[in-house]
Amino acid sequence: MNGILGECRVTQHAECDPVGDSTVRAVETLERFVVAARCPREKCRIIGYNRGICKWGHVFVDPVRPIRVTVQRVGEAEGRVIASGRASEESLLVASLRSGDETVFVRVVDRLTPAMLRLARVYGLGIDAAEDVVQETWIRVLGSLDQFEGRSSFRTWVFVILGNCARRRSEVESRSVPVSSFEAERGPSVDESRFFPAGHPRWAGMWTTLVDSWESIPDERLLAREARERFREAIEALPARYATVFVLRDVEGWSSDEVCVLLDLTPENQRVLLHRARTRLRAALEDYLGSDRA
Amino acid sequence: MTDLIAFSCQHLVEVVTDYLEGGLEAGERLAFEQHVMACPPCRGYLSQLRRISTTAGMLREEDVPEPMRERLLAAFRDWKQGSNLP
Repeated sequence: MNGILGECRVTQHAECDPVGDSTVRAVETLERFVVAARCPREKCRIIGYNRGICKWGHVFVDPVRPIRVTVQRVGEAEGRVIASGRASEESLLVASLRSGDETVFVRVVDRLTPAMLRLARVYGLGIDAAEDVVQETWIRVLGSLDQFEGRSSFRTWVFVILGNCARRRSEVESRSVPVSSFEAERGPSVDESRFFPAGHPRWAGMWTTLVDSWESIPDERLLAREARERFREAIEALPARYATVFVLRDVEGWSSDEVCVLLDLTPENQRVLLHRARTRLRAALEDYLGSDRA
Repeated sequence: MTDLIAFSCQHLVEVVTDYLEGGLEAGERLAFEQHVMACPPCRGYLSQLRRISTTAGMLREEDVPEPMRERLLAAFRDWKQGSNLP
């Protein structure tokens, strides 16, 4: 049960290490956190690091203050601080979960569960099945905390597990939305009838109609219950891959990098999916929003 | 006006997400912006796509259904007990 909590570079190590840039890591072991580092020439040893004691008596690296590492040179009476760094918020979060901190669990559940439910629905699951899948995901997350290596963000890791659970469940219920190869789906973003034809002597490819600006529509109108319902229905009507990318990017505010990692997409393909989702939603909402504007 | 012709409205609607995501080359980006400045319907279109994106961000539901929250908490306590944590 080892996890790297945080690390800092040793920069004042020149006397015993001419290269002078060994990395010191605060490592979590079963019972406590220790700082693991070795002097390459064994001329000094680590004698301490700042730490705190949690309410169960475990030693932990203070999450607020930077990790400070103190070493003592052989033959010297006093140690001195040679490096400091900060444990990442995520590694502390995982460490707190592992130690059974309920407050942290509730916080992380509140933060991620709404998005997880929404995403489970994208796999064609009903509300009850989606809740089951999300619960199963959390149980799996807890059971495999030891395997979290911090190679992706915690959030991405949770969503990968969610995706696996949701896929399996929708296969069992044979409700699986066929994930079509999106490269094969071509089609204009806006209906061709809205533009002058290619052969037009003057206006080829230009709009034949006005396009309303939505800038002046007040938020209250877009967020009114009926408009939200329309929006939600339109999202649920999207092909699963479009909806997934749209929900993560525009509803949940993930970065494109995170979405690419989670769904194993190239940045270009991620943009294509986002584009198709947004343009279909625009088309779906255009009539509704245009219909009764003052 | 030549730019406006070279960059048709029909082309613009295909690359608008590339534009918003910063995926256009400098030259194409400039042509896009010049076109939008000169073309009210495309300005409208751009505002629509922006609005889709920003409105979606306001659709977030923050609350976990209470019964579910309780079930998750119970699962957490079971897990904690099973792992012999304090």
